[in-house]
Amino acid sequence: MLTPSYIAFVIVSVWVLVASVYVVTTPHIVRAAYVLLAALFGIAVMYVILHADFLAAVQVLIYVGGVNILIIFGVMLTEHMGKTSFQLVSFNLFPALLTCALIALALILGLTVYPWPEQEAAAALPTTAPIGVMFLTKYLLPFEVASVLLLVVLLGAVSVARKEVRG
Amino acid sequence: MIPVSHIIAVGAAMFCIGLFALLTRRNAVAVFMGIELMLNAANLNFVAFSHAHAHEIDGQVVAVFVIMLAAAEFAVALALILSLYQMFRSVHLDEADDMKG
Repeated sequence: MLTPSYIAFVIVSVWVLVASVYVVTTPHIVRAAYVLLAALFGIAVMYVILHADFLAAVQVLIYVGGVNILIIFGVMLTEHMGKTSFQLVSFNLFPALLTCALIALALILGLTVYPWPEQEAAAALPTTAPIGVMFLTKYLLPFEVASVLLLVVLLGAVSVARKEVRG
Repeated sequence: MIPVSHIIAVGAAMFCIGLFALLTRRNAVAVFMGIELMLNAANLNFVAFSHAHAHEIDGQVVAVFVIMLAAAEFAVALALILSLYQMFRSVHLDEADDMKG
């Protein structure tokens, strides 16, 4: 039970969960953005522990390198420098806690009632080539739809973000 | 050997934390941080199931799609947030209550 990979998993889980709680409770939005980076990087480490090497690289490249930079852009472009601070306000605390507790209860019930498949002992194999093969065989249609979606997103984001000129 | 249920428990906890951010934050960017946490929690479950069945990596392929969708979603969200900021001079979700810009 207490193998090195399990100990690493526990350490990374605690890291990710502490970082996540900090992200949702800190009153300072820039700190939240940077701690979110730490949480997403922890998820990448967890992918390495779970033998998902390609996914760990994708996580670091897209989330830590891309989405987080976008989030920091979003913070910096929408706060008046100096005029308003980066303070975050939280509201609806009690109903939100109640909702989260109910959802957590449902998830814990599902977790304990359903018999989850137990892990087969297997050697860690590189996953990049099999994932590439699956993209072009079994998941070809979703792959092509995804590329069309990316094109639509590219055009849509530009047309939404540009300043509206009205006569 | 990491039991699958432990990985799913971490994912469930992360999902609830993200949901909490979604419900309590006023700033649109902070709400999206919560959504990113929830998407990562779901991804962790996909990878856990892929890990449970040796040599079946469908879960990882789905996780790549989820990461791609999350990036696309945030690009559109950033455009919407900037548009919202231009109209209302604020990104507080409860202040944007006009149907007509």
